Amino acid sequence: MTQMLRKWLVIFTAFCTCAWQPAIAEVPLNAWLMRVHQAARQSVYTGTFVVSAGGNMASARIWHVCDGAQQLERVETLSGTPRAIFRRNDQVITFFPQSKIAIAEVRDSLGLFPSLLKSSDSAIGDFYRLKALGNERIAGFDADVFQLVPNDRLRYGYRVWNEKKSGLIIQLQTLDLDGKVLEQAAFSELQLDAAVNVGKLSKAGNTDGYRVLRPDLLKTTADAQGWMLQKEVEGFKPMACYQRPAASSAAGLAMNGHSTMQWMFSDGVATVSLFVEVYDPQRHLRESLTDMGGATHTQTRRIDAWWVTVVGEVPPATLTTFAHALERKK
Amino acid sequence: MNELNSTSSSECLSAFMDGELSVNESAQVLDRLLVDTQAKETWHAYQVVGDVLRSAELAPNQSDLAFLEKLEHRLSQEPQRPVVSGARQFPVTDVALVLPEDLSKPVANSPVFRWKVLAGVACSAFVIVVGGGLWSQTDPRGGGQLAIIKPVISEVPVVVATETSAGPMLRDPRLDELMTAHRQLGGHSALQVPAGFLRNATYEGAGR
Repeated sequence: MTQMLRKWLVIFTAFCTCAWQPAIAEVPLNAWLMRVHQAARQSVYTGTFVVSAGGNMASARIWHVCDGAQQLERVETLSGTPRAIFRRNDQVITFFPQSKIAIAEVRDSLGLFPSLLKSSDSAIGDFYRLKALGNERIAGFDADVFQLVPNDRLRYGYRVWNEKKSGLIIQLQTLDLDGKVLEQAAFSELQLDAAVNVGKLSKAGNTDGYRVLRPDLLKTTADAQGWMLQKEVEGFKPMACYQRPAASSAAGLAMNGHSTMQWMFSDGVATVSLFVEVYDPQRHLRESLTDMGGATHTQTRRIDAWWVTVVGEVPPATLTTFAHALERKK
Repeated sequence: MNELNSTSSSECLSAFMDGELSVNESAQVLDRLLVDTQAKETWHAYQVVGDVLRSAELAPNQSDLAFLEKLEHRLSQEPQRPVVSGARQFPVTDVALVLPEDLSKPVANSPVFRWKVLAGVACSAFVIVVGGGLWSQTDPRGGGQLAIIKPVISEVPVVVATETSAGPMLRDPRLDELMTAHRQLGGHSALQVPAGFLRNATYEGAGR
């Protein structure tokens, strides 16, 4: 009889637990990601974007329009070194008005999505699940709140606020393994469907009067550079590999006279960069794991005559796994 | 009567010290001081009382008196100095004040605190000026040594301390370069547009 009672009690407790969580419903992840992507492409907006991470705060003024198949965007920073970023699809020009220098580059990663999602080996759904958390009001807009919950401890979680009608992401939080907010990016002020003059915005990409620098990037493969991962870090696929020649000196990208390899990995949401350069005993003093503030960490490791720096918005243990998985091809 | 006379004499001296007597009365008191030893002693006592009331430092003690006696004795044994005709001869006791015979006695300006502060500041300034000069002379990077020593200083990375959520940490500019490179090329994320891109565009270089 006691056994019977205990059994019923267990069933009743389980029922209660389920009944208490009706608000957190699992949502089809891929459909949501497509909607987020479409919203980003089709929306026309201006606003103020604020990022806070590791005790630092930065803000910028944003103008975004769609002109047919073209995406035009202008970001004017309101904090730190004055700079303006102009984007036309995957072409990005960063203007530094004080030094009259403009850095022009092509960011392949911007054109990658949704092919990233469509490709058969995309597995965002294998490593994250999406939960709906309800509604909230952000920057004057009603928003649906979702949480991307990682399935393991190799990646962080995210809380995302989508504007109800368009699906545009208006707030994004990166959460650590305990669910604590590591950093936050959000529109503090937003005007959707704002009247933005496309012609005027196009002129923002005019580099007249600026010295235009193009980072010397050579597309390569890790294999060609003589590197491999002895063991794949679960969920992270190699995305691209570049080599920056020794002479590269585009502002902020000077590589100290050494050729540096940058090998990038992504699980579809988080990105990890593996940098390999020649070991220099004067600069590379000790192997360490560093908290760069917010969600970003770095891990350094010496492999014979090389110095490896792993950077990513992932838990420190993930970077350590990468650092130890990298090895020189025999 | 003598006592009364003595009392009135003391009162006259006191009044004279305070400048309360008329010219005639003052002249009488002065005459008395020149001839009357007791009046002279009273005058001296009053002066001492006045000095003590103004400042305890001015009150003579036993060692002062002993010093003064010794000094007077020594001075009396000094050979007579030649007298310069036409020039005023300074009384020797005037000179006595600057002789550093008794080091246990505090210097005349010792109770005045601002003098001590001033002396301290002067000493510090001296140490800075002289020390700074010596330092620059012994600095290995200085002047002629540059030709011999390889200038390795420029190759040592400048590390800056930065406050993060995890406490203070050392920041290496090279690491910042790699961070920038990671942010610029590493946006392989489904959340890249718009959030990831805007996040990096806004945040790049912030806090540096």
